[in-house]
This record gives sequence, structure tokens and C-alpha cells, in this order.
Amino acid sequence: MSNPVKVAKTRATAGPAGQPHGVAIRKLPTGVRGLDEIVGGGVPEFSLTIIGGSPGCGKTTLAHQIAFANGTPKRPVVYFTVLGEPVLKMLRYQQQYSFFDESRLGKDIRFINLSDVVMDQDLDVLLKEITRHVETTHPAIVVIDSFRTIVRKSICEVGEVKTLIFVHRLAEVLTSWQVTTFLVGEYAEEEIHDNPLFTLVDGILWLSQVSDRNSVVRKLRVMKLRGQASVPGWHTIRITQNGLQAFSRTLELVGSTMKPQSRRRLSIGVPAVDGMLGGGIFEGDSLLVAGPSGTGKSVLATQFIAEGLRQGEPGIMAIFEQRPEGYAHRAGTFGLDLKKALKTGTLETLYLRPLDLSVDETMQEILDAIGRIGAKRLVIDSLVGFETALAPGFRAEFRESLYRMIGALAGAGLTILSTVEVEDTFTELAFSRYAISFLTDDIIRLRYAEIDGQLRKMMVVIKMRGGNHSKDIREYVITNKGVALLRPGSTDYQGLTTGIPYQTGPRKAQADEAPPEPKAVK
Amino acid sequence: MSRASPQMRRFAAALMAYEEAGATGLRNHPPSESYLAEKLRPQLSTLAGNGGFHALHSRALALASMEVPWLRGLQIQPDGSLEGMDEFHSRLTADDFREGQLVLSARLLELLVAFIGEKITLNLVREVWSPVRSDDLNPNPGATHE
Repeated sequence: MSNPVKVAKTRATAGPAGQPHGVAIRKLPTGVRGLDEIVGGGVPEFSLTIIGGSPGCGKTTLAHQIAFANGTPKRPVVYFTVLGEPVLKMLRYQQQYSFFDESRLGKDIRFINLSDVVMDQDLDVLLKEITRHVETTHPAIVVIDSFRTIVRKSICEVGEVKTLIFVHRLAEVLTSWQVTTFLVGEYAEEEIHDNPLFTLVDGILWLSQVSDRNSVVRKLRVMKLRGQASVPGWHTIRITQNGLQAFSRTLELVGSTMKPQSRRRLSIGVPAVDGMLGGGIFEGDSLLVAGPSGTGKSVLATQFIAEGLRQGEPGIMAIFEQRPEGYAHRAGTFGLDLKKALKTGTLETLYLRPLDLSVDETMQEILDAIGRIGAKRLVIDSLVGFETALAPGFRAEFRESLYRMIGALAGAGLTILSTVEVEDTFTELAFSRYAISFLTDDIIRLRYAEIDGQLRKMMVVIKMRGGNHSKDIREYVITNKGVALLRPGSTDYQGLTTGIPYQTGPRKAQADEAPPEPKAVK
Repeated sequence: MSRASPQMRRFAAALMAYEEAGATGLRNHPPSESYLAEKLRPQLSTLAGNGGFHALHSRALALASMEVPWLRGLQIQPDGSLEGMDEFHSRLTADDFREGQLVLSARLLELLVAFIGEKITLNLVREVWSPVRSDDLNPNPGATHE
């Protein structure tokens, strides 16, 4: 495995003309996808950082990823283990991760067990032992796992002041030898306020594991990082076979671009609906299709994607309620061949139903897919399914997360069609139960109305940001070619939005129709 | 009764051969000094600590003693070193003594492979016997140890 050492630098402070510049602090990669962005570009070189949190959060895995991202034969990583997880077991588990390269042990990464020194000797001997290893190996990085064990034993035996002096001297030695240090430890969050160690260090990466009902969510927070701007707040982390992956809560939002003044309109795949939208949906817009079950939201979404494929625009369908195979099969019944696009890679379906997702992870999945196929259109079907797939802890902040996600994806240049299921009431015309209409540019509302003893489907464009749109309420049917609008004016009713309209003119003669709405052939 | 696997016996035998080849001219040294686990002790103690190595070596001795009874007379010291081997060397035939060494070494290697896998085990032994080849441990790459 090649050693992926990439070092960023903070910009040196520009002094007045002729004056020397301020120091440039190199930033070391963490080896954790998404984490460099969160910590502000990487971990500052020669800093002393605590990796803290409760058991099972991924502290040791994080330390290992940092080690494998930075160790070289010339400047190895020295990983001191102290009275924590037995090293043989730790290696047994850690080598299950893809980043772990056994061939680099002993060269790029060296494990040294200090348990005996900590158990049998005093702090001076421990410091000498650490110093001896540092002087002989010239490491780029030192990890002490678990440092809390040392501190707790020391405080019990020699008191807090002598312990702090030890930590201070240790920091002096490691910094002077140009070492970036990580102190791993199981701490409770309450300890941060009383433990002077947290004042002394340059950085604190805090990991937590929160359980809510049956779901468990891991999160990370940069509590402190001297000398650079990190992204504040809690960020979701996930541990997979590739180790930790972090999902910044402001993922890609910073780089989002403003929509251009002049934008082309994209066809939704149903010319009559394009007409209602004033000529189609603006490229880069977010369209919400809201309606009750069975009104054809997914059909419209499929037509939108299929039209994009016809126009040479790759698409992504983030599906939360149906299986991708079923989705493609159903599209086939409307004469839309998604299977070919799936095969050739111009269409990707993301089937996301783990029930402990975060919005940020979902967005990362979508962004990855955009990177893979250069997608121009995105369908999220549906927001209700999306919310259900989230860990309970994230559902409370769904609206806010969705705002960040839609903004970031639109910033990435995608045209988005989201569906949302809303229950029809006969007193109001709700657009969605999330009150998220403010974050969509355009809204199409589908609903049922009782006419002549039939439950018929109506469509209306509620909102079209930046453009005029039809004010008509149009009846439509779902045929074996998808959504089809009936000709305007064929229904003389008022109060359609209430669902119980009243007739305004003489009853028109109706041709016998059985069934009234041709259904798709399965 | 479980026995040390043929694969690990072969690997231990190969390491003993490397040790014997490298120890030319040192034939008068006591056998405990060239004992495989003793040679690996610095590496394993650095990695797992004296306590960790002591525990591992004790387990290997317990397993090997079921197969070679005279090994029950040996003791593991707190630093993980083995006590009593030189005394048995003078009391046993060369073949019996070698068999005990081989089985004990095979058991220790077996534990190492079980815990940390073949690659890291090979890395460790190569720090002592650099010519060790991958096929000394596993002549059939891709196959797990027997």
C-alpha cells in the first residue's frame, strides 16, 4: 500500500513589505475521509491533541488511521500502548480495516508497550523511556494509548501537580523533537472542565456514541484546535471496513455556487406539465412534488429522470421506499427503460434504508455518485422514506439538515426533484408536513378530488421561483405512458383544492369509460 | 489431545534451522539462549509488554505440555523467559529435547498467528531471522494455517 502522505499548509501571515512572514504551520492528514475538512485542513504539525470519548467510539481506530496516513520509514509513527486493550488483540481487530497494512509494521509504524514501565516505575522513568524511543527513532507522530491510564495512576500516586509537571515536560520533549502527538483516552465529558490536561493540549477531538431507541449514532466534535479554524458542532462518523469516515455538517455548503442569472429550462418529461411550469423546470432548481399515496409522484419522478437520460443528462435516484429492481421494472411498464441506463452507468439508484443514517451521510453518498457519473438530475423519492431511514436522533433536525443538503446539492449544479407524501384533508391544501417549502424553488401539488362519484387526480403548480407558471388546476391520469394531463377546461368545477368541488355549469355528457383511468400494464 | 499443527511444526523447524545456521561457532552456548521464544522475547515484549508475553508464553507451554510431558517441569518467569530448559537438556536425549523445543515453539507461533495473523507474525520473526520466507510459514499462500 502506498503511503498517502499529503501535507497542507496554513497560509503564512503576510507581514508588511520587507518584513518576515509568520510561521507556516503544516497540516498532517488524518487519513479519515471528511475529517481533514472538519479540522480545518489537517492536524497542525507538532501539536498535542487528545483523542477522547467514551468506550467504543472509535478512538483507537482513529489513532491508527492517523498513524497509517503519516508513518514513513524515515519518520515513523511510534505507538505507545499502556495498560489498555491488549496489543495483540488490538492488532487482531485493527487489521480487519482496509487501511491497515501489516507490511508497514515495524517500519512505518512501531508499537511499543509501556505497561510494565507504568506499572512498576515512576513518572521520571516513564519520561526517560519515552524520550529514549523518540531520540532513537525520530518519529513524526507519537500516539500514547491510553494516556488517561498514566494520568489516573499518577494522580493517585503523586498528585495532580506532579502529574501536570510530567505532562508539561512530556509535551516539551515531544515538541522539541518535532513530534505531533496524540493522547488517546477514555474520558467522560464532565472531566473536561476539571482536568487541567485539557487546558494544556493544543487540540481535543471528541468522539461520542449516542443511542436513541434502537439506533446508535457515532459523532465527532472538534472541541479545541489551536491555530486554525475547524468546523464547529457535532459531525456524524461511521465506522466501516475502511475505518472511520466523517461527514461534515457543512459538507460542500461552503463551496456552493450561486445560481446563474440565465438558466435553461429542463423538461420534466411530460410536455403538458412543462407547460404548466412555464416551459420546464429551471436547471439547478429544487422541485417538490407533494401529494397523497397513489397520485403518481414516483411516476413523475421517473419521467423526470428518464427525460434527462434522453437528453444525455446522467441521473441519480435516491430511493427510500422501493427496491431499485422494482423501481426499474415499474418504469418499464411506462415505457421508460431505466435498466439500460443503469447498466451503462448513466443512472445510479441509491437504495438507502439502514434506519440509522444521517442526512450528511446520505449527501455524501449522493455526492460520491455525482462524482462517479457526472449526474445532472437527482430524484429523492421520498422525503418521508428518507426521514424514516434516519436514526431517531437525526429526525428531530431533519428540516434543518434537509435545508443544508438541498442547498449543497443545488450548489453542486444538480436539478432536484423530491417527492413527499402528504395526506389529503378536505379543509386545507398542505404542501408537506415538514414546512420545508421554503427550501424548494418550485412546488407541484397533486391531490384527489371527488367528481361525479369518482376519485380523480388534480395537479396544480403552487410555486415557481423566478418564473411565471400556470394557475390552472389540471386533471390528470396515469396511463401506460406515465402521467398525462387532460385537456384544460374539461371539468367545470370550483373548489377543487378542497377535494369536494361543486359543479359550476350544466353536467356535460360523459362517454362511457370502463375503467375511467387506464392503468399501467404490468 | 490436540497437537501442534504440522504447518506450525514445519515453521518452527524452519526457524530453528535458521537459528542453528546463524549460531555457527556458538555451539557451546546453553540451549536456552537459542530457544526460539527467547530469541523473540525482545520483539514480543516490546509489542505486548512483559506481562503480555508472559501470558502468551504460559499458554503455549500449557498446550505443549499436553503433547510433551517433560515440558511440565519448565517455568515461565515474570519477564516471559523460560526457566529449567538447560537442566532438561542434560537429562534428555537430543531427540526428546528437540521435540519439546519444537512443539513449544510451534504452539507459541500458532498463538501468534491466531491472534495477529501470518503477516505480522512473519514481520516479527524476520526481525530476528531476516532470511525467513513467506513459504516457510505458509507453503500454500491463500490457505489458512492448519
